[in-house]
Amino acid sequence: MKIGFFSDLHCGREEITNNNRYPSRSLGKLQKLLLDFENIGVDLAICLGDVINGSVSRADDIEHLSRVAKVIRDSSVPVLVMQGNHDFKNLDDDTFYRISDFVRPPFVCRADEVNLIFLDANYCSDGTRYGSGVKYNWKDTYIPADQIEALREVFLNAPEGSRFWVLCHQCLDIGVEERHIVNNADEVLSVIGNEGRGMVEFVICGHYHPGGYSIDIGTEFVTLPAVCTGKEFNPGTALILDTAHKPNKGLI
Amino acid sequence: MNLCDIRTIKDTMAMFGLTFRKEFGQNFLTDREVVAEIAESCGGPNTKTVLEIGAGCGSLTHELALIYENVVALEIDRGLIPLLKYTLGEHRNIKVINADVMKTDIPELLGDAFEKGGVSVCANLPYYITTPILLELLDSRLPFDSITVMIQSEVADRLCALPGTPNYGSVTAYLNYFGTCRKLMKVPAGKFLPPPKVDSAVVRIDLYRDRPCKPTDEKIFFRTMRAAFEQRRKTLPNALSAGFGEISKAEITDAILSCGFDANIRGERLSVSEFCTLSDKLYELIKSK
Repeated sequence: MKIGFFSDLHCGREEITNNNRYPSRSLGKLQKLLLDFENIGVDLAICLGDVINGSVSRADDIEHLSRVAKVIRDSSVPVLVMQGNHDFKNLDDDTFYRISDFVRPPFVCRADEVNLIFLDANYCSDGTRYGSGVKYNWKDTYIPADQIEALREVFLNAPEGSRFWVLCHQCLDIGVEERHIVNNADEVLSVIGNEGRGMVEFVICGHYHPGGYSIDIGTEFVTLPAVCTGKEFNPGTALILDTAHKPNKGLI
Repeated sequence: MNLCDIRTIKDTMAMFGLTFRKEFGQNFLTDREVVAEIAESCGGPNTKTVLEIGAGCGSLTHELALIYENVVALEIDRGLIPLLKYTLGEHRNIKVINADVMKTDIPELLGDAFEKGGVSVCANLPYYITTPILLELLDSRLPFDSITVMIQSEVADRLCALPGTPNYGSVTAYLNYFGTCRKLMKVPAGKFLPPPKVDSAVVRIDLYRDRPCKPTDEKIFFRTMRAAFEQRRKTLPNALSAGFGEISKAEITDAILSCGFDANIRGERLSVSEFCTLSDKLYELIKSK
């Protein structure tokens, strides 16, 4: 089974923002990306968040979210959509999923031979959930204790030889720029390194637009380059992994 | 992907954040042999297109796509659409549509397929809605070759009953006007996830291209059947008198006798062709007034 990953669409009205970000072009890039996935035979796509750029207007955000939702609905590839910090600028969780009708990923699910774990770091260090009306700093990103405990439980209950891919919008790869890393990434990495018992093949994140790659504690850390970067669609922003291939052989 | 495997179904539903929805009466078949047999038996050598009503998690859709040229699958539950994209992604001959069959313009949807011919229906639906959908499909007069449905076992017995037997009723007679019905197989409750409270059966209705019974007036024909079964324990003259106020009981009795039936006969003993003969007599009587 092929699973396609992409992140950081930042769909919006702006033609260009700082850092080479083109929000108004992301919708077209998404269409192209999903078409490529379809042609390659991707069975499942996962968006790792920051679907919209987030503007000053809630109505604007809803409009752009609805446009993305239509593209995803019209695609023959099923897409699970995680949330990123930008998705909360004017919208809360429920509004985001209700308006878009996106499939909200569960904490853990099985895709063929692989278990996918979806970590949500859209929380402030004091435990406050991001959302409209909450003044949050995008650098204050934290995975709450209950998720870390659930992660530990999943690993402890997993039979030897199980395979896991861990997904999170914010970065868990300590090799990327520090302000993009989840504040308590060390706690998560400790669980992956200890209870994970070598079962975690990949940790895939978005958030840090240049992207990145490293190998640590026997796990491949992939930070996806942002789809919104650059004027033109860059196929290199998508990652396709085949569940049939074991670590270090999965990258296509 | 084995879509009849309980773990696969549960895992796939979990991936898409789904649970079994009681309001949609979702019970998924977990025996691949049964699913394959339904798919196989719902069509024939000339079947090109199958309209599946209620795709669920796509197990039957998958089997249909392996056999027939085109499958058009309707699914009312919007939440199942991404799941169906996932489970059926390998097939290029399936069209999944999020729609309620009762609100769908089927001629518009299947216009091209009807022109080519060889269109059949296959449905595995919540039992409370199966009979209304079946009647709606028959009433639509659309040129389906056959309709295959999974229904509650007792309802299957009623649909396939012979005149004069306890299970024979108005639905049986109505259905026999449009085609012939046969029970293909029984499916125990344990073959579903979650298991329903009753056993099921699969019935196939082969629709007539040219109906053998052609009543002079179809409205009078259906009125006759309805009246006969509305008070099925009464003799036919009494039952029809209640339904045809414009004709006297004596006239109705004469009409019954002129058809060669006993005056004390009950409606439940009449076949569709006999109802047709009788309704023509009643039509003449009404027309002469």
